[in-house]
Amino acid sequence: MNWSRIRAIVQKDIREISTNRMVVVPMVVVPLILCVVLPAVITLLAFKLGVAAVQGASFIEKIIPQYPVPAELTSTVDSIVYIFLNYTFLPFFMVVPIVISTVIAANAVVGEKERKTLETLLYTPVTSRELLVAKELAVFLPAMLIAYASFAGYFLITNAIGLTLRGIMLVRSPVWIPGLLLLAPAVSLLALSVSILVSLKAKNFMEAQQTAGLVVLPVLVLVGAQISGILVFNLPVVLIISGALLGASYLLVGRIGPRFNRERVISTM
Amino acid sequence: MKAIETVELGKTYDNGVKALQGLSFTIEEGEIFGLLGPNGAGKSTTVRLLNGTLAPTEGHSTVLGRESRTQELRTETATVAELAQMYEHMTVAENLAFFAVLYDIGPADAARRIEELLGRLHLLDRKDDKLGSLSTGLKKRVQLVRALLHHPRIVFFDEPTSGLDPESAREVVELIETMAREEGTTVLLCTHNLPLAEGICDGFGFLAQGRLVRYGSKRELLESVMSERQVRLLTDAGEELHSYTEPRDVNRLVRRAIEDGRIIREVRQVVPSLEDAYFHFVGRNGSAESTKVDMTFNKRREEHELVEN
Repeated sequence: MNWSRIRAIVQKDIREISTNRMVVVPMVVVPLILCVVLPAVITLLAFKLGVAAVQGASFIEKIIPQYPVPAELTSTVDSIVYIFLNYTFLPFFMVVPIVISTVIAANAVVGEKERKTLETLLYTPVTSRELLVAKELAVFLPAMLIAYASFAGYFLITNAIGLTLRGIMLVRSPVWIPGLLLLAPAVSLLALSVSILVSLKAKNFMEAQQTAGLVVLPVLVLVGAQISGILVFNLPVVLIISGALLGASYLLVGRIGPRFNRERVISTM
Repeated sequence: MKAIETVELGKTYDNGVKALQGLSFTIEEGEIFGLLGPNGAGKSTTVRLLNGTLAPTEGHSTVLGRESRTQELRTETATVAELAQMYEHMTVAENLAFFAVLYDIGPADAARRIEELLGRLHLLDRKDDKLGSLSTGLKKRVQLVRALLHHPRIVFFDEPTSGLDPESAREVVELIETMAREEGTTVLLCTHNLPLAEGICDGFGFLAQGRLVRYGSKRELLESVMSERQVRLLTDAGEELHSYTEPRDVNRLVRRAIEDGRIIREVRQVVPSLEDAYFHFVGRNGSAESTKVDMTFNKRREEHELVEN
């Protein structure tokens, strides 16, 4: 593999992202709402309303004992906020790498098809494998960068609220370490693989994005399962899910290879 | 040396469409060959088979002595396709530098070559402009620079003048010829713009409904439709078109007109143009059914004067 070519395509694709409003808007809005606005509002509301915020939601009280809550968090509200921000929010946070990967992948493949630039690339000496690796990197790298930047924003805003109003760090569970280092890359890889597969057949950007966006549904199922107490997102569960997703991504990436050849790509233009 | 050779080359797509069948021709190195045909005749499929983007379903082709599917061939060939674009958000220089990397040209060599080609195509003052801000004609010139960056031995042009006004189209075609002759590059020019191709091509192939109905030099093609010689006689009584077989038939024709008391103004031998040959073999609707050459109404035909009054 020729890494100079791969690097050139990755740099070109990443630069191209900023020129497409359909890509930039979700890349800014989704992390901002999901990782800054929503957690800040929920935390502030919970602290402001106190127990009234969770009154009647007996299922929430039921799941509290299932999670390791630091000893200094004695009130129910503090415990619930801690569980929400560290455990419930973890699968919710995965929506960020999924959405970003889906949007960038659709732009990188279908976007190039629509702008008629992919054909020019196919006529160069770049091999199909180099092109695929470049496209995957051009999706994965910015998706992870934005995911980590989003977490940084999330970490800062929630802990700022916690320290100001309660004198405690709210986001500090060790579950975030495998969550960020394993789960986030795994869901990003899965989302980008599905997106590239879909993009190979899709005729336009919207079609690719909508179809690939269905990857977000299993994440919402995970969120629901966790809120209802069916699944507890503790360290072993995060490790198991990350491993399963990485395995699924590996299998999917293997399936894209043979499909990502010149003839197939050009015949869908 | 043969630059391109196809033997019974054919392509049937997965949906069952037979885009090309039984294509056999050769192009010599350094030749500018025009593949002419209407839309849907199979020109783009031919280019994609020859540049290795598509695999044939029948026959085979060799480019520079190697199978067309050979990966390395793409370092020795270039393709400028009708719809294949470059990156509008990047400047002309950035686009060219990007493609230079894909062709494994080092930064110093790339910079030198880009400057040289931009200079030759009068684009130096536009090199820092965003590609998207250029006119279609200038973008085509940038495509030409991109295609020539790596000194390709063969360039495939698929409708390079599409979307251009006649003046820009003429300019692009002339640039193709100049660059090809200067660099000694073999050119396969696929177009439906006959007059432009006629001006620069050494050889021609007529493609219709996925079949190569005839190919050869202009002279060979014209000879093949000149089964019937015609002469145009212009007298004070009007214009007449006569068929003849021997030159003395023309003398007889003129003598008879004089005997009839008519004043001879002009006698011209009518020679069919490439367009006549094209329509003869391809047909008016591209159906490849041989049609009679319409010499009376073809204003572009070449006429050789025999006698002028």
